[in-house]
Amino acid sequence: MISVIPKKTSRRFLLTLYFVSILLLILFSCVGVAVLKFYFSHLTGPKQTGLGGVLSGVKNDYILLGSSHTALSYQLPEMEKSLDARIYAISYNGLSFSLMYPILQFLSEKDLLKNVHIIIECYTGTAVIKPNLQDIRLYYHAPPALKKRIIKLLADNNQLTKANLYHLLFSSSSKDIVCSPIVNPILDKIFCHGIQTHINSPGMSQNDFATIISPVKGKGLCLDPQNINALNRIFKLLVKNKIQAVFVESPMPAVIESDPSYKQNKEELKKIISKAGFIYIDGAKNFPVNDHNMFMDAGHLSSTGRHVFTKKIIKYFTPVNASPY
Amino acid sequence: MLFNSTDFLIFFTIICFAYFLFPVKYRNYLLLAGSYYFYMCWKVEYVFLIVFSTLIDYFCARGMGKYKDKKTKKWFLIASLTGNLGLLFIFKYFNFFSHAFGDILNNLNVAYESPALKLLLPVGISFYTFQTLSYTLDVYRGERKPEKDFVIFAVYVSYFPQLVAGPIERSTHLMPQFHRHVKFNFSRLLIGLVLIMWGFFMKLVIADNAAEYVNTVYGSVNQYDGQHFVLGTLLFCYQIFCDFAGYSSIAIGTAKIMGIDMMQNFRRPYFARSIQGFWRRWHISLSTWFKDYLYIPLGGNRRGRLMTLLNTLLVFLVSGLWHGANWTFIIWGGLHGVAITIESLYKKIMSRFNFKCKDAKLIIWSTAAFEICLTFILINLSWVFFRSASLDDAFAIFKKIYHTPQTFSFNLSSFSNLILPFTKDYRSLSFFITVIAFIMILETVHLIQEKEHPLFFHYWRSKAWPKIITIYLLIFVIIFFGKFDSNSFIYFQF
Repeated sequence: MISVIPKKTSRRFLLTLYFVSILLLILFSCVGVAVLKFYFSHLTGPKQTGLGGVLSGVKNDYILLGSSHTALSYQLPEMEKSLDARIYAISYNGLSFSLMYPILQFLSEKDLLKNVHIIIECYTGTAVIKPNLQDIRLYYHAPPALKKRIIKLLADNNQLTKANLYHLLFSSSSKDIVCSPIVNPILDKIFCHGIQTHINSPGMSQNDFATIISPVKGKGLCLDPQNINALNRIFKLLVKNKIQAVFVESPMPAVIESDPSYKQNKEELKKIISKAGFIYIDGAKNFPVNDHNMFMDAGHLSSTGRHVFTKKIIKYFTPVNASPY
Repeated sequence: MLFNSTDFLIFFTIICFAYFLFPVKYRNYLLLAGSYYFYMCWKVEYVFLIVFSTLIDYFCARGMGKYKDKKTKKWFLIASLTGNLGLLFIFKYFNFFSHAFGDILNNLNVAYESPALKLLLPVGISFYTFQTLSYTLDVYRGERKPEKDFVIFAVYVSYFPQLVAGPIERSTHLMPQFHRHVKFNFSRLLIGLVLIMWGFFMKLVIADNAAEYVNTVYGSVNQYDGQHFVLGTLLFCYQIFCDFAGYSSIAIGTAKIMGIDMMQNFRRPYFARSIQGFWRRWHISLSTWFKDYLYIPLGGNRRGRLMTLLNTLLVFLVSGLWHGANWTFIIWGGLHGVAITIESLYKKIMSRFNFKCKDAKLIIWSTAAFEICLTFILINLSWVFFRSASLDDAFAIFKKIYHTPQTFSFNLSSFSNLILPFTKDYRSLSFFITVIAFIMILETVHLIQEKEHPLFFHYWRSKAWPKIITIYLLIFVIIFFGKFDSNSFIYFQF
């Protein structure tokens, strides 16, 4: 039978077969590595920053959860000394309530929030925008169960395009994973309990401070319903699991704090939190928001500002003040 | 349509399949339609510019073929030059020269408001204009006969793999290939795929990742220190090489699959031992174009030493202007011209002395290493002008680089600050490590190619499996380390 097939045709068939099998091999091995990344990337993450520090199982008394404002608003060694407690900060850029909820849910399921005080960042700037994953490190550090929730959240909010999904599954954090044996020991040196300790952020110049524009100015933004929904779910989770929590909003420069739109949204957020029976701390209250030395840029505190804010905030973090639950 | 887009992947697959399935006599029609569609994906109207260029040069060349007397031929040449260079001038240089003229008058206290055209620069106009001009000039010089088949000539002008960023092909090399009957060839497919994947590796893995740093520091000159610009310029030197050589490699690879051989455009330029050597390895299709159609007609090195130096300088100034209508490019070109002039004077002087040394091998090696390093540093210094948005920025950067030793100290904090612009967070470290690692891989491959080890090349040329493994590894690296959100190739703007 084989001898009937012309030589040219059989050669073409073999070539096609050869080529298709190479393509399939490439496809399967790439998908295989992506699957491995999905299930095991968190194991290669650093242990002194992000979720890794909490997942390592070290007992914490306080956990700060929030965006870059959390990373740049507190001086942890000072706080730990004053409160005689171990404090750890989980901070990811642009972390909104929508992404905080799956994190808190996951940590409580793993029993990692038992007898821990949570200090949740309550930044009006992220509460007014649609939920999205600004900081890809969260996906990289997240165990598979949390990764699934992040993907679902992004899909539910129409933030998961094909390009985004490809980026998450394939290209994102490949460099971090490959370099982790070199990078992680260095990160362990420069990070302490989730915060980069040696960072020195000088204050802004008076000129730069004078030119700050409110990020919500004239945009007519109001609190995002998805974020508020997530906030309500956070309340329920905290109550259900009897987790002590306070909500803190870091101070912003005076121009932003006095912006009518920002002010209105902030008030609304404060009302929602207070109505649920939780304590809301307005960081801007009694803080020198007019002083350019207090801020390193339009949204973050400088080293001086951090020192002043930490001192001011320490008094709130006592079990009495923390939560009604 | 970018090479690094799914649109191109689909487009190329369809064209490729159709090309080999079509009857031979219709293949060039397919290539022409495909090439025009490829170009129209940027802006539909600009296809008329290519058609205009094609028509002018086709009929001018036919005219030169028909009328043999020198005077008539010259008129046809003038018509072709005016048409092509006129288009290039209007779209690319009018505003620049208009502003320059306005500035001169204003400095002389003459009130003059320079007119400006609001035209979007057509992608790759400098490339196809030079390609089509070379054809007319070749016909004028009698180096080739005018092409009778209009479709073949139109395909030569607009052939999609090299349409927007070269290589600038010569009609004597490319056009005869469109007359050939090409059959599908498996080994050519493999070589083509290796070249395409290598090009994507250079573009998506090295150039686009290095661009993160370069764009950040060069985008805010006031914000960063000299140390950032030293690293930024070093990374830019690989960004621009990988961006452009990557494009050329993809273009050569895609053409190879379709049975068309294109000229090599880059030959490991950072291994050059002199600036002159650099130009024999960098953008070869452009430097040979300038040599053949500008330097030699100007007299080349036949009219005395002074004229040779002046011709060299002029060619490089024009080369700078070809890259962009900005003083930064002109100065970049001028610097290369001056460097080559000094180099040739130095060689002339050194040739009078006859150095002899006992331990010659060591001397040869160390001299080569020194020359490569010196050339690399000089090229990097010139890249500062090439990358800067303005001359003021370039001079500010040089000032900062000069003060680098005073601002940089060897400790972890300084190093973190240095690499921070990659991602502006701690991931900068892994970005830095991977980009440097991939650059080292690139240069290792270049070193192997430079050394031309016979055993390696025997396996590479005769067996299929080294190519298949290379393709496999490259795809893997591109998928996991590539950046897919880049909007363009740098050389598209030229």
